[in-house]
Amino acid sequence: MPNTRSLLRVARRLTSDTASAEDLVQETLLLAWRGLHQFRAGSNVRAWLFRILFNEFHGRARKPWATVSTVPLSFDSQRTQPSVEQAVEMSQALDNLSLEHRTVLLLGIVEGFTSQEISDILSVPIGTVMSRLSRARQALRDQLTAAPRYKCASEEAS
Amino acid sequence: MSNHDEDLELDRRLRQEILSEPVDVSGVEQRLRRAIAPSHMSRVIRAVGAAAAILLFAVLAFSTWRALVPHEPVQVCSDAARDHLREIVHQEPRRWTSDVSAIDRLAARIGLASSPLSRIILPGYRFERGKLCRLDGHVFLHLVYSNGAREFSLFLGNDPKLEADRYAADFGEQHVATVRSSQARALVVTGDSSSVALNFAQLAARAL
Repeated sequence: MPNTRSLLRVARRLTSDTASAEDLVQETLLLAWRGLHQFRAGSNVRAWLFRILFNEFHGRARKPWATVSTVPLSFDSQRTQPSVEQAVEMSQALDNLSLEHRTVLLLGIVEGFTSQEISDILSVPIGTVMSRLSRARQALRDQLTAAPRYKCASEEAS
Repeated sequence: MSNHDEDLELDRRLRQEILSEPVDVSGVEQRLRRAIAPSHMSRVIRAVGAAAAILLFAVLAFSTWRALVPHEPVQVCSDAARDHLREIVHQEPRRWTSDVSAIDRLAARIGLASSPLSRIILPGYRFERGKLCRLDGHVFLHLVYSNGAREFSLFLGNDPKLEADRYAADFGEQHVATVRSSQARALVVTGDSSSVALNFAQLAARAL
């Protein structure tokens, strides 16, 4: 199914664990399936799906029993490009950002949405999106600068 | 490196690191298919059910209309022309009777006046044989008359649901005319002409 990978990638950065992320994406796609008649032909289906995802995510976050936090993701140790070290460093830096900053970076930089599309998805003014994006970049840069270099267990052992 | 270049480099790194993370969507897709399948099926079942209900309603409405509302005897005439073509022109085998008393009994069964054969006088023609038949669901007495060279069919019935005191139509080479009297309906099918059909139908209807 198209867009599932993108939705799950972002959902994993929003929710507390993989199961919650899969639940969120499943519910998003079900809502899209049921509300297909509401989709306006010719408009951006990816942006529509992400708007549903964020609405559902914020709806869940408002429930008293919901938790919104992130946990470190697992990495494939066989990966060569980019290195595990770099990946973990960036991943941890991203996870340490506020939800607002993390969100605009994921949508704008990783998923490639324009500021206008992010504005539509998150229902915030475009000026807010642009300033958040600028601040999010700076926050990420600060995190990367401040964070100690990650070392693999094998490197530490040697 | 300018701020813009630094931003571009940071964006490139972020995109590269995050997009290279493995994302397994098989679990979500399986759960989604399971969730959608019953709902999709139930929609199909509901659609089929609705279509069946509409069809049933249409059939019932049409049947009721046919049963209760008087209508022109087009179908009756069409069926009569078809029967005449098959049974008289093409001589397909049927169980006929030439016995006058048997014809009287058949006439009585469908509520016609007694002894129709003795009442109906058609100049130049004599009664040959007869039987009961159905035209558009109505029971008629099918009588065959002959002048030695040609034959025509006279159908006698008694159904108030058929409208029109007089009705004539041609079906291919068969000319059909029907006339209703206060007692019965007479319907003639002949290959001769429309006027002959109408004339004989009038004579038969008046006689009953």
